[in-house]
Amino acid sequence: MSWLYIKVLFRNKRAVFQPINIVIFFYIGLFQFVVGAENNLLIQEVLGYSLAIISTGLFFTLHSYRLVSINFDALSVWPISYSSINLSVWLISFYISTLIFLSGFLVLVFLNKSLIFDLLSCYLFTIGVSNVAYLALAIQEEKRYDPSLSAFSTKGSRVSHPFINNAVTLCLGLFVFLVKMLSNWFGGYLFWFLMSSAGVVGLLLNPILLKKVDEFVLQRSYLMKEGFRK
Amino acid sequence: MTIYFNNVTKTYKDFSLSIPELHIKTGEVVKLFGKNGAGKTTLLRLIVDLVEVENGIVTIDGMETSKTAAWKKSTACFLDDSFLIKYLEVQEYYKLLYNFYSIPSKSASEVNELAGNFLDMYSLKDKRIENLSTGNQVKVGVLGTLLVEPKLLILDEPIANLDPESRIILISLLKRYKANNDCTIILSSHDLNVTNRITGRSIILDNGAIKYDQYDQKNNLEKIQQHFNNSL
Repeated sequence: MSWLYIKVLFRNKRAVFQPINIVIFFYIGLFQFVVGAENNLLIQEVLGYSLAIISTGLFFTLHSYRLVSINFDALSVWPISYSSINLSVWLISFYISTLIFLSGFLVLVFLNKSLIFDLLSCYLFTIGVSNVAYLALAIQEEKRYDPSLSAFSTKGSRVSHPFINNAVTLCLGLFVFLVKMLSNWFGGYLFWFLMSSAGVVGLLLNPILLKKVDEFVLQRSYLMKEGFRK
Repeated sequence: MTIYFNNVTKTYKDFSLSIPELHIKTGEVVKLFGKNGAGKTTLLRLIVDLVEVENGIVTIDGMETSKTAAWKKSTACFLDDSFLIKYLEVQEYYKLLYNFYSIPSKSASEVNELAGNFLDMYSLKDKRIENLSTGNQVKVGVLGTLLVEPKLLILDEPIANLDPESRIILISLLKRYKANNDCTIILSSHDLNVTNRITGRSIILDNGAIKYDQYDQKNNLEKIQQHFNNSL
């Protein structure tokens, strides 16, 4: 049975690419982040922040929703026993990626201890804000957002937008950098405060937005049917 | 399993579904009819808590669906192809379902015995669902709901993509399953003739409200057709 769960995980392109992205982006991001911060190179710092944000965005999108490769509607209805599915799909990927994530974090802190609060506030910001940004895009695109896939989906068929994922997080990275530049005048406290508050607000907004997206998609299908009827 | 709707409303911008009271008893076969956009899918989604109830409550065996999960163990539904995991082979998909529902796996011959002429498990079992035709994908999904031996079976337009022969076979399958298990079946359809082959209770939804709710009689089909003719 475990072999089947592993197949579920590895046959899904998104499930395969997410952990690879995490490894690539996280370590490149950290490298750039450290180099950029030490040499005060603006472009490198922008890139560093952006990639660090992307990596955390990918990491949390993947893991906060636990399952990576099954449609959200079906998951809500099937009597899934967490003891079985978590052990084989979620826990394996979770522990592996957590290990990668934590080791990267520790490497960074070892290299530059003063960055610890910068990073922590960036992570909180990413968890809260990136998903809100995706959901807002889903509303605008009039498509159902499937958190289990971190992709947009319409009824039955999934339309994935990997570039949108990365574009959103890249924009967030630029935003973080701008706030960071401004906060230099306040000794960094403003940066930590703004990033952390935005993250908390985002976390609170997420469930509300998820419901809105669902409502919006169903409403649209009724509007379309009404149009045909007329 | 019994299903109870009490003063349930669900409103969208230009559409509102309102069910003051609906009681579906254990072992009933409920056939939902209605025009496109009448609210059939929303009603089915309300039952399995995929759409949030605005007012009122929906219960399965007395359990409020939005607050409990125990009903999921005895409920199987196939609302659309998103319930399939398309990159799995047919047999693998079924194995996963058996595991979710904590029931022993069935061999290909057991599945074939249940499916009859509906689906040839021997030839399809090693094929990925994504490589099957739309009709066969629906067959795989619908058969999957029967294989997990549910007490409540919910199917949204299961015969829409099937060939005429398979439509009739599916209805026979449902009849046989119903006869062997004390199962409640709710299915929506646009094909009055084929669904009339299974006796039960017919409900017509129109613009978000129940306009017809009758247990099948001899002239059931004529009555339902009359209802649709009148609304033209």
